[in-house]
Amino acid sequence: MRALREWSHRLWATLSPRRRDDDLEEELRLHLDLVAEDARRRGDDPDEAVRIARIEAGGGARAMDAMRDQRGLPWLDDMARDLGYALRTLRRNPGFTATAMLSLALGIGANTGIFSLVDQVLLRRLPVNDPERLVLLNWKGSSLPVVEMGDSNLMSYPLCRDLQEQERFFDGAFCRHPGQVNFSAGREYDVVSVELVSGSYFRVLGIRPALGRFIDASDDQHPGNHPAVVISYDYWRNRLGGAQDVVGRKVLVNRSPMTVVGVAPSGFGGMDAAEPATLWLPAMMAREATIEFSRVLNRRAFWMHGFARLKPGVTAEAATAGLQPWFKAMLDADTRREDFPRVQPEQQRAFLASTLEALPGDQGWSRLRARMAQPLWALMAGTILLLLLACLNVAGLMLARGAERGQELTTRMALGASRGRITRQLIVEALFIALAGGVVGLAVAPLVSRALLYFMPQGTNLAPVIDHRIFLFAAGATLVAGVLSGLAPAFQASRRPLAASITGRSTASGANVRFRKAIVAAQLALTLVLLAGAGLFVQTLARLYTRERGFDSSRLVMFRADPAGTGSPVSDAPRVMLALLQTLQGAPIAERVSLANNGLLGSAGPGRVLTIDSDRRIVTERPVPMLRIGADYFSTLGVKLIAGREFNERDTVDLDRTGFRSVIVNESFVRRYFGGLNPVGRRVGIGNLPDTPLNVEVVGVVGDFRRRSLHDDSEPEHMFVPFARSGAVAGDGTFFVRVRGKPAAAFAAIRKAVAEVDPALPLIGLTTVDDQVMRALRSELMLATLSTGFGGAALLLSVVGLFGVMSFVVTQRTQEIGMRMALGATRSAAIWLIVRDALVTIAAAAALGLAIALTVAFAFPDWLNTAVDGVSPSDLRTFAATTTMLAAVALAACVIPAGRAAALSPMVAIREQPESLWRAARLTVGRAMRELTAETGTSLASGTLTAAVAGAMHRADSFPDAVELALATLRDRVGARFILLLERAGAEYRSRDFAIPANGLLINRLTHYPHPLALTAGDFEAWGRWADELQPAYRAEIARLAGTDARIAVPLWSRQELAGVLLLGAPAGREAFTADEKGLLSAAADVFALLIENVGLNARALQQEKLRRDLALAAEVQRRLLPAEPPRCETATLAAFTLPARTVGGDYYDFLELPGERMAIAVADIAGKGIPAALLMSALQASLRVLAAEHDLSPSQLAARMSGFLHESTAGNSYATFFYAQLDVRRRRLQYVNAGHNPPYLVRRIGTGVEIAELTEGGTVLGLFPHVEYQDGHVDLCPGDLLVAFTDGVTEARNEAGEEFGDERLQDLLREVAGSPAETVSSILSDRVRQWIGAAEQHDDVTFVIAAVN
Amino acid sequence: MSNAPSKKADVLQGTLDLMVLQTLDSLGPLHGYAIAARFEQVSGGALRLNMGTLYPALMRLEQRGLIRGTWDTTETNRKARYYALTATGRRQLTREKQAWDQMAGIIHTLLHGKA
Repeated sequence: MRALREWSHRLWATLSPRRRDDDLEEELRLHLDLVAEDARRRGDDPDEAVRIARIEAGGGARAMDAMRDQRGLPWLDDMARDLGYALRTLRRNPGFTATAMLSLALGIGANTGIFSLVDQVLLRRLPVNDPERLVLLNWKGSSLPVVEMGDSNLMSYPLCRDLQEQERFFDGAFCRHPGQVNFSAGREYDVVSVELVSGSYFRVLGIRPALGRFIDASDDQHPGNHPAVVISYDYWRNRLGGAQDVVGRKVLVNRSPMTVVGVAPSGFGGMDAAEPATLWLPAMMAREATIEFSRVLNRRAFWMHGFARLKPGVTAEAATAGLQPWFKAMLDADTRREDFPRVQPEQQRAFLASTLEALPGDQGWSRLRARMAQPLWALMAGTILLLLLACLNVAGLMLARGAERGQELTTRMALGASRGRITRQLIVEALFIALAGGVVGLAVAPLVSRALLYFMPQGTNLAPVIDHRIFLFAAGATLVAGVLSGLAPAFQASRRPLAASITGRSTASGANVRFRKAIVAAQLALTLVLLAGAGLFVQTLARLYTRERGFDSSRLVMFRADPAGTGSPVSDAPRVMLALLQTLQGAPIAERVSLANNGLLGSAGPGRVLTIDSDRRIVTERPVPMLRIGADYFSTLGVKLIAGREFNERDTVDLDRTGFRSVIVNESFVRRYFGGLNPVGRRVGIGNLPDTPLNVEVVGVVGDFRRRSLHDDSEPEHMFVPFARSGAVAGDGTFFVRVRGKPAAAFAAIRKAVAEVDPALPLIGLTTVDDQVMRALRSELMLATLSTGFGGAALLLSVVGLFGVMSFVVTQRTQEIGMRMALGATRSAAIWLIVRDALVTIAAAAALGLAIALTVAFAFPDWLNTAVDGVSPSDLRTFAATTTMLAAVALAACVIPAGRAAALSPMVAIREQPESLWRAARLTVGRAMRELTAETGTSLASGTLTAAVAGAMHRADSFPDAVELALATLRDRVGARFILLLERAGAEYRSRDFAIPANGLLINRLTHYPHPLALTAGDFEAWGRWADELQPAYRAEIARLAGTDARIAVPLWSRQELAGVLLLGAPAGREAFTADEKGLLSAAADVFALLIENVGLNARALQQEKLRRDLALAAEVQRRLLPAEPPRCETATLAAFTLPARTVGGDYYDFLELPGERMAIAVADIAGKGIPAALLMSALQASLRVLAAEHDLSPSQLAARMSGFLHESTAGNSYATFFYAQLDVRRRRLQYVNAGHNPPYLVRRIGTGVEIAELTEGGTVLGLFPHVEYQDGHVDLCPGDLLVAFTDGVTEARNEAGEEFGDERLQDLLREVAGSPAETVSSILSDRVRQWIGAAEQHDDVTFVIAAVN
Repeated sequence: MSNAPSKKADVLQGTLDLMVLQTLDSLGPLHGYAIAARFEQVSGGALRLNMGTLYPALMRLEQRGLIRGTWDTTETNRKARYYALTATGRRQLTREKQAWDQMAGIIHTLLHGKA
């Protein structure tokens, strides 16, 4: 409580602007004033008293800091600052922010939307007591059912009763069967979901009724004797108005009167949360609830799902193992029962080998979950990949911006921000983007869910809801996305070497590009995985859609009619159905009409075991799905009749009394049970008892068709029996109408026909069979659609990323491209240069992506085999196609920036250069090109040589390489023993290890005779003799030339200047070059001249541009670092003056106020110029301020610490001279340290004379060595003393005559002004130095700092 | 907390808080300097609080809701922040006094045998 109050107080203080530093200061000031007053009253020195109070408090700033920390929450302050900074940064870059935010919104939105359904379908537990102790009991093996009703995990009701007695493992067991009934609690009928349950159901689940009682053990006695209904809370609330008197109300279930006994609790929908029940009925009422089912107590009727509650401490595995002895005994007992089917010995063995297993049952049983688990998990995995990709995208964007922000970050670090702080800053930025993305994502999520619901089966209670679980998920995804996105940039920033930046050796940009390429490669790889997945899912869908169905869906319409459901008497239903059939048959729209008791591609319907009179009497191994059909069923559906006939009127005569007399089977049935022989005329019996009569005749055989499912072939055998014409059964049925014209148009006609028979009769699920096919392929359609969408989004994201990186690379290399094109590279060659770069990235991405995809394919082969039905998950064609497509799109993304670069004219390519420079270069290039083409026109040989040289240069990675390659090519072409390129460098023409003077013999000759000069050994000898006698200065050069054994010297002319010389050795086996070869060399000379000129041009232009930017930034940094004006002080006046040179130097000065009425003066001169000097200056300033304020250090200690710090920052590569003095004003004492600075002067008047002392105590410069010791110097000051510290720019300032200002002139000047206030001295000094420099160029900064003691 | 004082200061802190509360209880609202002066007076000059200790302590007490600070003017018409004991502070003082007496008794017994 106390902690809470304190915390809230601090929080308030942090947020409230009211009690800020001013208040604190005021309070402290009052305290000190009162200390002084008291001292005065006591007769003590008030100043001294205040000084002591200050010192005791640890310096004013210290006390303030302690209080500030005490007052607020420093980390919250920091965080607020980070957040504010992030906000400003993001607002400045709206394009970046929006792109990053939207890509995360896409990822988070898709994830949240899909997770919403994953949660509802796959993750939620039942809202019952201790759901984790529930197990689902599964009969594993052959159960030999006689009747089967429902999907998977089935068992019989008697078995469920047996299970309730297994008290060693279970705290009770129960069973349930899901179904649908017509229900009426008043006049209207509703079709509602029902659960038929054992009496133990509610007790074992451990829930309490909202009203009345639940179905209990007393309802488990006799079939048909327990008309008790429990209704769901929602139905009670919404349909019955929440009536309190609902218990005891009489209701109708199908046509049976029953009584409501209770209302289930809110939120409870039975064991299938996705398709919740509205009613619960005792299993004993199965006959009333499910038409035609009357075998509740039959041990071979498999229709219920069995659940049990484990005893505390018993695991599902232990229960499985422990149940087996009892289960085996039960199986054994079963085989001895009278009603056990007569089966083959191997069938019996399989039966006895069955086991019963306990599976986790905390989520109940859901057909939807079983069906949708794999597609939903696949989608979830896909969206997680998509989010990962979005994170990579944002990371890439941040890195791209990081390249631009590099200087900003380096400067912030130099100014004292820690790496941790920068890292945190970037993470906060990323988190902020993620947060915005998360909010948008959360808003989009319901739309994604809604889109997904489209693909879900109807009749579920799934909804696009955002509840607290979904919200938490979105928050988690946002957090993870933020951290993931920020990690790479933060890592990159934390590796940025400060020392390298300060000393100007930054390599960060190269590393940055590599990092970004890696991220884009990862993005492309993930995209490949998503696209490969999409490819497989699309193929699966296509395969299922196009596979042979065995029926003709075109123009086929179906709907269900249920006359009994609307309140007309059950006995009337067959008449209504018949009337409906006849009316439809008479309708002009109908080509053919038939009906069956089940639709197409829907539920299976019950199966029956048969005894068959094949070559011997055999029993079917499993129940054969049985469908009741009307006349013309097969011809209406377009199913092929292979043998025999369809049903006709005779088959239904007296059907109610005699039961089925005829049956039609399908081809699979014939293959399996009749060995492929024609079965028409053979007999079968319904059931598998020894005395089952074989009284049903096979009258026809039809082709296999996909009645139940387009997916599996697990139960291809079917039998068809006639639809009853009358009687209690067959109350409802599905009609099939093959219509004329468009099916949609037929709907109205069908409705009209139905209305003629019974206006109140609803058409349930009126649809075309084509639509039904699409519904059956819903989950495949969902996977294919969404995975294609995700793949597309991923492709877009990563292509945008690639485009960004490649644009950046192109910008970086534009100059190079321009130069290459100026030298004759073709456009395609320039494009290739960039594309080659991208190809490496794409190839790496493809390899990585394929590796991931194949790993997944081989790691989860079973899973994928079911998910991608009938398509091999490692389908090579899919992968090849996907990879090709990705590579093509990615290549397109980089061809555009490359093409843009190549489209620039070579002259514009190096745009950053001053215009005039470029005009000159352009003229040169143009002239050279004309000459080149003229030359190559005359000589085929020189043409191919030029081509070869140009080709060699295009292969090169850098200009020095290009020159090397071109030289080697030329040497090989003319067959020279060696080749040497001498370039002009000041007063010499030189190669790496050979040089001749520019005013020497050879250059002289070439200047006056501008053609290749042949040389012979004799020439060298003659020149040598001549030089010996007349020109001894040339002797050395001639000897060196003779030593090379060169046979020809080719001048390289560029704009009337000799840019260089090519020296070639003798051609192989000869002593001289032919005239043709000389012509060739002349032509090549032009290429080389251009080449080396451009190398120089490029380097110079870059240098100038860099310098210009450096200067602007350095000047800005310097301006900010120098104090605006000196502080005021009673006993001394202070002044400073600085005159920056045109090229920014590294002068720095500072004034600092120290505790105890002391002042500090600092002057420094940093080695070097430009950015490195400016950054070092900022580091120096930061360290000085920190050290001077936080520690009561002596000047020598301070200098030692700063030297160490600078050494650390620059790795000993730079240094600064430094003078630092502490002025104790009251005691008139000066303590100083001089670290290699030119000695400041202490100017003192003695009588009429002036004495000037140099302050030299200290040590060497700062930053050169890791550990240096310094000595303090001490001076006692007198009034009128003048301290003048200055940089060497003052004494070395030159006038127009080149004369230095000098020490003496300065000292003379100081003698004149001794005793004046600092301001005066400063203005006189600066005037004099300015006058001195006049119009001369100022090479270095000129800086003074002056302190005059009053 | 990042700005947690050292252990030694912690021990002091308890007594300092108690002293401040007691002073405000017996003398009514006071500003910081008056509190320090009172300590010095009571201790005969032996206890001189520096402001680097006093003001953070006042702030801490205010944050805990034991005292409340308000701006007012002194007799010499200077603006000063006056601290007054709150009801919570008074209860806290009673509790701490009891605890202190108990502790002091125990220590006295320990050091000097049965009193």
